Amino acid sequence: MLLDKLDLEPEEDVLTVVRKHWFVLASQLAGISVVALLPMVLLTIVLQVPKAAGVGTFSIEGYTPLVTFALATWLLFCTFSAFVIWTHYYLDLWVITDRRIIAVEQIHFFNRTVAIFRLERLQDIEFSIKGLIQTFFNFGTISAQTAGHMEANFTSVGMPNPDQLQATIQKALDARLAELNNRPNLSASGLVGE
Amino acid sequence: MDTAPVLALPQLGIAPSLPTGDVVTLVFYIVIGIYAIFTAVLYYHWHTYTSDKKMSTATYIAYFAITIPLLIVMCSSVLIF
Repeated sequence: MLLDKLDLEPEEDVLTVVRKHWFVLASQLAGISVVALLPMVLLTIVLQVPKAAGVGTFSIEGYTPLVTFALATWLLFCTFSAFVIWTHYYLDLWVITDRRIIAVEQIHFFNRTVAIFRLERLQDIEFSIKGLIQTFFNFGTISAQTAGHMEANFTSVGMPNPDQLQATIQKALDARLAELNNRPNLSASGLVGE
Repeated sequence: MDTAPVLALPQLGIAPSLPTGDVVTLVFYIVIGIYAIFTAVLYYHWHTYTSDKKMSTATYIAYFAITIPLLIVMCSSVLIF
């Protein structure tokens, strides 16, 4: 399980887990559906158009098992693609705790990055909503930048309610800074990253 | 007398012809191999990285509910040849 592997600190609470907006998934699955149906549409056109135009007929009689096999194979590979999309959608997420932001990016199978940033090191978090569709469905790109020896930032596209997400992170950051100010020994005890 | 359709490949010099049934059977075995590998990879990812076991189970059920009928159709087509 993912949360077991993330190895949360004692008393660290998960505030929210965020995945990309459903529109991102739906648009990709719609594309695969169109591709899946393409051979059936082409076959129908090839069979029907010559007959309708009166230029003879085209028949697949005698090749039915071969055509069925080819269509089933095509649909199987389209199903593979759909499950790749679904897997990447579901396993690609942000976990926001009261101490850290954990950004898991499932790029491909066997290609996965996990970035962990402590809230107190967060320097800037911003979002952008561009275009009609993103505005209508309220999703966009969110990026966070941290300060450190090597300045790092991470960006994720297609995040839902980016304004609320930004507010959640900002609120958690404020709470964390207040906690650290009240209990400065936390920094010295090593619970705060270098 | 065998009247099965054949794929003629004389220009390749591999063989004078290949029975279509054999070619389809070979393709079927290759697809089964790809299916087995893909299923293992999919299972590994959903087993290892999921944050919700119920969602993993639902994904497995959906995956097999879609793919097994397709494999049965493919197998039936191969047997008809």
